[in-house]
Amino acid sequence: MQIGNDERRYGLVAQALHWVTACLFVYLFYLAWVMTDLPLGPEKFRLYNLHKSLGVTILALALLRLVWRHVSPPPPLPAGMSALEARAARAGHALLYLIIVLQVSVGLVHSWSANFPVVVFGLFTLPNPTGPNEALKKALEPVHAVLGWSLFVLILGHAAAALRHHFVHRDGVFLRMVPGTSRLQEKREE
Amino acid sequence: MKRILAATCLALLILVVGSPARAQASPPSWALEEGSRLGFRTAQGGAPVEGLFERFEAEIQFSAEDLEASRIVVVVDIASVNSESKERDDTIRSPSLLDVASWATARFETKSFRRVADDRFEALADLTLRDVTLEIVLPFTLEIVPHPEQAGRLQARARGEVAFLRLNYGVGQGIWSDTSVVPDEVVVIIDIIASRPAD
Repeated sequence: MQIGNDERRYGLVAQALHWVTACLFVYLFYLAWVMTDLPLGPEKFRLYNLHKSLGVTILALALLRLVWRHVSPPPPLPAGMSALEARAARAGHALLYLIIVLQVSVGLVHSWSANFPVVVFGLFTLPNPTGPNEALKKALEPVHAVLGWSLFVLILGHAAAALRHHFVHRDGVFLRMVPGTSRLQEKREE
Repeated sequence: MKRILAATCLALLILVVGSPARAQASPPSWALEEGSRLGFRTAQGGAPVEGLFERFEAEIQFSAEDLEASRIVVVVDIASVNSESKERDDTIRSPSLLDVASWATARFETKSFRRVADDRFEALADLTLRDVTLEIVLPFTLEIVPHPEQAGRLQARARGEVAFLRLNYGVGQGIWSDTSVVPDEVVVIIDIIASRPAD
């Protein structure tokens, strides 16, 4: 079991951060889908706060992952990719990080300007640095929606690309991120 | 006949002269001043939330020396709620909570006062929210000083807070009867400033 990333594979740290983030995203998007149409009541508040808690966690994990990429650089893109594919892959990953940071920040500022407390998993309340601001809240609503859908599409594209590597190219790129598949990946790369 | 006339005159005289004397004996009226605050504190998912009612009227007849005859009536304009969140304020005004469409005001009317310490009192009052009236005991401190801006007047400041259970007043119909996100207990905070001519 390797902890850090190397030339061939992602290590355990990067894999764990990646898949935990993936699971949190499934839950977060599910909540986003069901919570908005609920009547304004305790259940809606509960789901919104859970959604916010997941967002804050994903942001924290994303920042941690960026630091980890610096400490332990990820494996290089596989040889044999076209220049266009390589550029798309780099841009895709950069955009994923960028939109995660932007989207969670917009969500937080939206909550703060709505003067609704952000209580992370019921444990602690984030300070409100912006204070109530109805105009800002109104302006950020569509931004959060558009960024949310963009992120959703980007994640689907990310997953589709990974599955394309696995099932169409039949290379080991997807397996780099799957724990315990070092030997399987080796076979694929032979 | 003369006697009856004289007696009637005397009775009238007593009535005319006597009534102002009685009026003076009743506690003085205080006029509400700018800066008076009527607020509340609750929570939302574990985080404290505070708000104010920006419009309310108060009839205050109060004297620490004549608590028996002292009386305070406060009428609160529910629509004036402000917790610095339009969504939350609209919810507070909605039928499930304070239902401003059916009951535009809340009412606080004292029934008796008790002096607890030199500057500390307790008011036993009827609190009406929606269509429910229940007794509540509001402890408050009272500070009376010469008016800082108007010569010849006194200024009083009364501060206190009291908790009540919102569901007892029907504040929380349907889904809002759930107290896991917004607790049953709500704290009312008063900071009332009033003045009157000095004696």
